[in-house]
Amino acid sequence: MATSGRREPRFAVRISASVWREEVERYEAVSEARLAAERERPHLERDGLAVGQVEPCAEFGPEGTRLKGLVKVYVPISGAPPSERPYGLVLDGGRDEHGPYLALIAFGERHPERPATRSVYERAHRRLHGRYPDE
Amino acid sequence: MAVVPKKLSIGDLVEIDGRKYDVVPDKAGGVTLEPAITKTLDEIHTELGGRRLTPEEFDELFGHLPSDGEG
Repeated sequence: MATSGRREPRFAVRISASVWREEVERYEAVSEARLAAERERPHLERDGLAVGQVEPCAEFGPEGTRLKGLVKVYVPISGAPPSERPYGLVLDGGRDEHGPYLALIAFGERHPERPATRSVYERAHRRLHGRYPDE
Repeated sequence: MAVVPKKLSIGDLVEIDGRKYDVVPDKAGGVTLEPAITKTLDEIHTELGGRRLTPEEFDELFGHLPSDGEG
C-alpha cells in the first residue's frame, strides 16, 4: 500500500534479484554507474519513493522509445539539476496484497557517450515491448 | 582444418564466460552485444509477488505528474 509520509504519499520500491543482476551488475564493480546504483539501493528499499520524486516516462521518446505507463527517477536521487544526474532508474507500477509499489525494471545511462550503447530508456523499452526501438 | 564461425542473428541470446548478451543492432548498420534482458514486466511482478497496475490505476496514481519528455 502507498504509505503516508508527512507531506505526500510514498511508494515502496521492490527490486528483484534478476533485474538487479541484469541492470546493475552488468557494469564493472568499480564503475561509476554501478556505484551510483548501489548507493541508492538501501535508501530505496528502506524509504521508497515519494510521488513527487518520480516522473512519468514519455509516451513517445526521442530515441523512438514508447514508455507510457512507466515512471523514472534520475540518479543520484537529489535536488540537483538533471544535468548533474547522469543515470536513471525506470520503474513499473505494481500491486500486491499490501497495495501499490514500484518495481525496478531498468537502470543505466540517460545519455550514453558511445552511440551503440543503449540508454536506460531503450533498455526499458526492450523490457516492455520485447525488442529495442530500432529492431 | 578450417575454422567454422558461429552464426548469430539479431535477437539471439548468447552466453560468454557466464554472462548473457542479446545480439542487437549497433545503430550503424552492424550488430553488437548488449547485456541481456531476459525477464518481461509480468515475470518481474510475478517474482515480486504482485501484478502490473492497470492503465486506470497508473493514471490515478501518476497521471497528474509532469513529464520532461526525455524518455
